[in-house]
Amino acid sequence: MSDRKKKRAHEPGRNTLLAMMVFFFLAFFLLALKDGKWESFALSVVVPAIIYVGTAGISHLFPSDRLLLSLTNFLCALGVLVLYRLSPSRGMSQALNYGVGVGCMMLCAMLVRYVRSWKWLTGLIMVGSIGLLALPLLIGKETNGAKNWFYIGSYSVQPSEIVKLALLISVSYLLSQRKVILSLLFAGACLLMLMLQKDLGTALLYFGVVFVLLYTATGSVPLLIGGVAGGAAAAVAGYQMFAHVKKRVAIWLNPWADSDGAGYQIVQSLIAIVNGGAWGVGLGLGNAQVIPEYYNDFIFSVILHEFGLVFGLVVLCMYLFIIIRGIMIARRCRTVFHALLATGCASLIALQTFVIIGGNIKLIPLTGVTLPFISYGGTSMLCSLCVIGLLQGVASRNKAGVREDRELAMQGGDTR
Amino acid sequence: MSSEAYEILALLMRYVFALIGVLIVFRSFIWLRKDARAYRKEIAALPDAGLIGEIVDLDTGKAQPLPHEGVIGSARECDIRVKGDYVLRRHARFEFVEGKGLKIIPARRGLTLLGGVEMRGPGYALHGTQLGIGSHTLRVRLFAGLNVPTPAAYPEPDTILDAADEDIPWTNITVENAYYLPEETPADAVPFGDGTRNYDGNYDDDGQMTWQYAYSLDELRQEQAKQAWIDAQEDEPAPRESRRRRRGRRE
Amino acid sequence: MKHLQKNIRRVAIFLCALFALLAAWGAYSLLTYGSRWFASSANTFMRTRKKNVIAGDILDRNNVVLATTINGQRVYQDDLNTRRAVVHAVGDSGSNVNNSAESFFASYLYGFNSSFLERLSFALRGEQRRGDTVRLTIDSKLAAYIASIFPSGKAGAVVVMNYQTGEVLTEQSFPTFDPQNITDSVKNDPQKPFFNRAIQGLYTPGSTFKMVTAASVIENYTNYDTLTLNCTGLLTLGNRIITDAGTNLQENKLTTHGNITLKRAFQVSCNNSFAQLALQLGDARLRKTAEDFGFNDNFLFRDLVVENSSYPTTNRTDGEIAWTGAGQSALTASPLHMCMIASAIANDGVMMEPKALLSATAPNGTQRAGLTSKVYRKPLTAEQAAVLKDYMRAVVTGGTGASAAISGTKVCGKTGSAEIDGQEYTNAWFVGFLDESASPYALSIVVENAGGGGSVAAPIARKIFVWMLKNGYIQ
Repeated sequence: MSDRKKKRAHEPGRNTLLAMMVFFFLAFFLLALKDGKWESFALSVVVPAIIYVGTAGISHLFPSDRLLLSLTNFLCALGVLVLYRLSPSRGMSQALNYGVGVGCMMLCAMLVRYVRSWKWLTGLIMVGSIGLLALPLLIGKETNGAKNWFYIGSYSVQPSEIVKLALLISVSYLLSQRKVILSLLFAGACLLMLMLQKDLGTALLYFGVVFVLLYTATGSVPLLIGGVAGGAAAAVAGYQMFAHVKKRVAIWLNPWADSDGAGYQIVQSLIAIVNGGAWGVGLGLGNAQVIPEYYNDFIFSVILHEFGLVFGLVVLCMYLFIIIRGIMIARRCRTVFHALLATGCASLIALQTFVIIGGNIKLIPLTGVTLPFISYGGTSMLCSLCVIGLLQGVASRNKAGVREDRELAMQGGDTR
Repeated sequence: MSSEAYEILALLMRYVFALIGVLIVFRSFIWLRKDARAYRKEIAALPDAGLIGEIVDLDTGKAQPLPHEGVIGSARECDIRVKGDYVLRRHARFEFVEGKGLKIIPARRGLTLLGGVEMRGPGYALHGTQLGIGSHTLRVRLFAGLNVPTPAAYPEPDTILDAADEDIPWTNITVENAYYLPEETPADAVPFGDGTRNYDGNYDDDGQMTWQYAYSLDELRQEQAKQAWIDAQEDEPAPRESRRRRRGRRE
Repeated sequence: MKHLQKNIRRVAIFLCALFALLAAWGAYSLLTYGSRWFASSANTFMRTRKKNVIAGDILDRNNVVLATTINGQRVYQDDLNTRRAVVHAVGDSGSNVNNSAESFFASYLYGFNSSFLERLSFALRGEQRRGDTVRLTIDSKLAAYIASIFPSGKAGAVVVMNYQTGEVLTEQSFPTFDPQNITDSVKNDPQKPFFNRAIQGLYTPGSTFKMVTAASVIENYTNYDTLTLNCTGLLTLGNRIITDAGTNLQENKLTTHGNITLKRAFQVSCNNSFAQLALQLGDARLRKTAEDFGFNDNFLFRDLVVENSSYPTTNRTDGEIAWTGAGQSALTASPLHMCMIASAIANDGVMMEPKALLSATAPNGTQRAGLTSKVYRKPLTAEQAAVLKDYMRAVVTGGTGASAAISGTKVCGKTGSAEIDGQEYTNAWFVGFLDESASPYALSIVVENAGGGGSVAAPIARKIFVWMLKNGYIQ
């Protein structure tokens, strides 16, 4: 084996990383040619550099999963690209969010890697998350029918995003200790708070994740049926109770009935997608700003519009790979808690992606959740990256476990 | 740059972007598959990966691999499956705690003994500890090299053959296990000595197995294990040997 | 751990299935509805595109220019009457008319289908890119003539199509407007001139639905020839009373037909008899025939966006079923769909898909799309169609549609007078065709709030057919 080959073998996915860097260089350079601004030229170098550092650098510092890292980095940078193209100020601030998010991701990874006993931490997390969820009810601002924001200074904070992490950790821990009732109570309390805030999209997400975790931990069929029935009942109840849910469902069934009013968003989203066609209208040539919330809920439609369906499928595949990777990590775990945590993380990203993309293409009613990694928003970006951080922590534990096994096997020896 | 020229360039680039995207997805897929294969290969080379020892059912002589965490019970999905009277479907959970041993968390309804004492709450089992699960008695055997306290009074098992060559598995079979073979002696068991002795002669007055008989059984099992090992050698190149002793019935 | 592994695998399969669902739904909905979304008047993306591309011309079937671009301005046909007559088929630059050629064929007109190389060649030559030229199946002269004879001030629609190929010769909605000069009075007109009634308007078909009821009888009863129906003039079913045209219950005046055959009942359009037939057939059989003719189907034609017709599925009391047999109740159909039903009868039971695009030609002469006739459904056998043809011929020779008759030409048809709540007069319908192999044309006319089909719509049909025969519509 030549030296070069050896080096390659040590660095899996080098070509992938290179392709990603080329992609963003070309994309930002193209935008730079369009507007001629120095920021764009700078970004065409800086973003590939961030991707390199974010993948190769981090995996050098911390034993993490490179595949997961590189896919995540690609999606985050794609978000920065799309936002920068549509509104440069948002793109810049998203780049900042991305940087901060990578830091938070590392913190989460270390947390999972090195914390040995979660008993006390879980209690703390549970109390804290209930408190956090109560805050918007007390001092929150109402937007789009949901009251799930509050402001710290000029920064808006969406506690339901942060509590997502807390929910993952605490429910996984409780279920690993087989405290099913307690975990259900905690999840129920969180759901109730979200219902009070009328944040039904996130409530749906919480429900899905807790349900998946519950099934994974117990594998009980009655629970599965009960969960589906309960979810259906809750959906019907939500439909009956909240006027804005009724409205959303009506829009979903026929957005064209009021294509200039209530159905405007989804109609414009569909039109943007179909205008894009297979190959897109071309970067910088689209007109996706006509979709309200193009930078947040409908960013996937924007991607389909400018980059086309083929590329949309590519993005979808990347999400799928992240999820498959998460499941692989979960299956390699040695402890129930970590297996559940990794499953929860993977299913959270999967469900969130499904719910928002499904809403964009009118498969399901639109709910106000964000597209992980890509949507504009500090809290959302941070939360998604922290979820990846948790996965990274579990992955590094797995790696450490295998290493230990290998060392023990080298030592040889019987069972004492 | 003129808008028409930019348009043409952007239209060209969209194919490039899609191509790079497809390329990345393709490479990632290959990467994913390669990694899964490499992991499988690594695990195959480490038969004990993810295990911390084994649990021997002293009533049936069956040994089961012991993962870091899991459930003991009679249900099919249990990691340590024990079928017998008074064994619940999920009888006890166990969890390996570094520095403390194997934490056993018994179900409230079942009868669980740890070292002969009934458990009222979680307790730690160490290497050699006997666990009473319903009507069954299990013995915990932990791998050497794990960070666990050494049991205070645990007799080292007597090794019959002192030439304890690590690479030859049948040398490790001990008398200590033989004592807990099933009471119904297998029909194909070789009687001790010239074969004319009464079957009952294998037990002493107290009903305990005589050591001669035990040794003869051990010899038989060594023969069987040897044959199995030789067969295995012929079938495939030897993987790195397990620290769990081979019993010819390894899954 | 062991059971966890199994469960995690199941969860993984579930999550992958979700993603597969996303991709499958996306592909399905784009393939089936994509062209509709694209053609919607809410599509503002095209307006931004119009800056960079010279929109292609729209021609009628005789290559009369209906719309072109001069100095970046969209200009429509010079002649005001023609311009007004074809406005719903062609559309307007402000996208006020939904699903017109301007929006539905925009991908051709704005050159979205042109390849990268074509664009490059335009750029290298330094020219502004041109869209494709779209040739429609409509005939602007015919349309102008129809507009000139349509009762002035009335709302309504006319559709003429070739029943052998499915080409739509004209689809007109009234009132019309001038696309070059859209005034506020047009925008605020209560009759909604922008609305294309021919394909989007859902009307109660009235007696024209008896074509379907009669088809159902012929399909289900072999002795349809000898059936004797007893029309007493009044049929009371629960709180619904079925009467015939001309009945005035206050004055105790009833229209009765006595004992009549199916053919006679069809000829004189006897509601009473058809109500009895519908009850005898029952809801299921009648609905099946109606669905064979395209009711309750999701029309996804390639060239036209036609509103779906509906045969009611709920609230089916005997009274409702009886009225359905006579074409009232909650039935709805667009004029184009009624024209297609007549076409199916004319074309030996084969219903063709309506076509609006004759060809789309790139600036360099390559043809991107052409006319390909396609069978949509086969609701009848040739024999059944022949019987119905005979009935419809009888309507014109000696029935309600006598004023559509042209000597020497076999005109077949069915009149209709649909009662609409809150309207002074009935909606006048005439659906018919020329049973001449050299002139395979079917039409449907609806005039809102105008009176009886035989007196208002049938003469219009006659005039249209006469004009067509005079102006070379003989193959």
